[in-house]
Amino acid sequence: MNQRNLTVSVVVLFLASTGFLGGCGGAGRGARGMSIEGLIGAGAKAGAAMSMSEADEDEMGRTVAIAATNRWRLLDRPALTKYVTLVGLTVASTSSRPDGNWVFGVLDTPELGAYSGPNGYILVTRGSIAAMEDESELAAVLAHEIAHVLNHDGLEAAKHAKMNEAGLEAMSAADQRLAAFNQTSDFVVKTVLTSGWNQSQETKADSNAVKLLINAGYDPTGLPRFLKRMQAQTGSGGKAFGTHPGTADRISRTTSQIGSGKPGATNRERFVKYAAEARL
Amino acid sequence: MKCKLKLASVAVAALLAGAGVASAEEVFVKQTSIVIRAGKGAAYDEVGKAVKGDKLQIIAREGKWLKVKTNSGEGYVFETAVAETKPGDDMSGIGKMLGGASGSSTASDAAAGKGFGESLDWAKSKRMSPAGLNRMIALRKSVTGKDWEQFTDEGKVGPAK
Repeated sequence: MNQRNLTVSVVVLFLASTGFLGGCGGAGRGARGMSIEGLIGAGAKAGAAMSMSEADEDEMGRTVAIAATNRWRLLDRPALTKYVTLVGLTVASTSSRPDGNWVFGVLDTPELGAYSGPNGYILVTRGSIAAMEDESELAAVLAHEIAHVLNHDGLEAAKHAKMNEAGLEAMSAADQRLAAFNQTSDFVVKTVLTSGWNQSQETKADSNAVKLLINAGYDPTGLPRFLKRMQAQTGSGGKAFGTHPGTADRISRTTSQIGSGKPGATNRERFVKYAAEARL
Repeated sequence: MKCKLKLASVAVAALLAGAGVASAEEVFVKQTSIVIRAGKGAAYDEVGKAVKGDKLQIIAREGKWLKVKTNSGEGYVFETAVAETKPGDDMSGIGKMLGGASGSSTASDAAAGKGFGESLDWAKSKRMSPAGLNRMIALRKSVTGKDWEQFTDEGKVGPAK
């Protein structure tokens, strides 16, 4: 991870909202409705552009996990969750952040879906696990979400949040910061759980997921195989995972990327044993 | 366990040095905070923590992992978490930028695993419960390095050994 990639981000928003940009042509005060990118630009001109720390990123990731586990219940199956965690840790162990904060959960819904918040909070639905046939498919879905985390897609989303500064001036600095955090979190949560990542982010996450699967020794065809099953359930233009590119395109791209490399582990037997808990 | 962690944190703090360039056997932490673990992977128990700018003494290099010294023993950090030169002070978090308005933004807080608590305030404002998140974290902590080693061995997956 390159920390410089995190430059700007929400911190500048906080600076703007608390008057730190007051000397920049009133960019902060007069920015009601301005996009965070606009505020970031103004902040950068004032030399105020900063980077988000891991602790800040972690708080943003926690809001995503809280929102997801309130929209759906967290599945109360410790053995299955432990299994998902072990698969996820295995995939992450060969990534650029094997020492990262990787936390996994299973959402109690029959819907197909998987979600990731900044700094490694990853959730997969019971419905997705029930639709899988082996461990490489689970690893593939987790690898896709891990790739979003590694690419800091959540923070990228934060940059595009809109800031409503109404009433901020009357608040204390701490309250201003909280208000700014809340508004940014609203947008990040909406992006992760509802509107989805953009097509470029999704394509990159698929590509990096294939690499992660190969590095971890899993059969990378787990990704296109699961996508085909998803396609069968949702149709060729299916967007079962938010705004992901059309499933047919994803299958084509990942299959082409994998080529005729040597197959990896599928571990079907132990997957079937644990996945039974997802088929309630 | 908590006592051990505290000791380890103190130990890492004791290794702090002034600005400059680390010797061949030392590196600086470049992330806000890092966890020093008993083994080479996120599944292993914490044996200590260190914060940005801390100097760590290297015992050995094992692939991309560095075995470092803490007061309570030895532990591992990943190579991308550290640098040979001391990092600048430009990524200290929101609270510091606001003059400590939150009162919880110090490096030592980060090392203690504390964020700024905004996620809990956010949840409260939405009338959401953090119970699910707390269960996720508790379940994660229940997975040990030994569990993971057994899992990867049985499934013939994971990093090359």
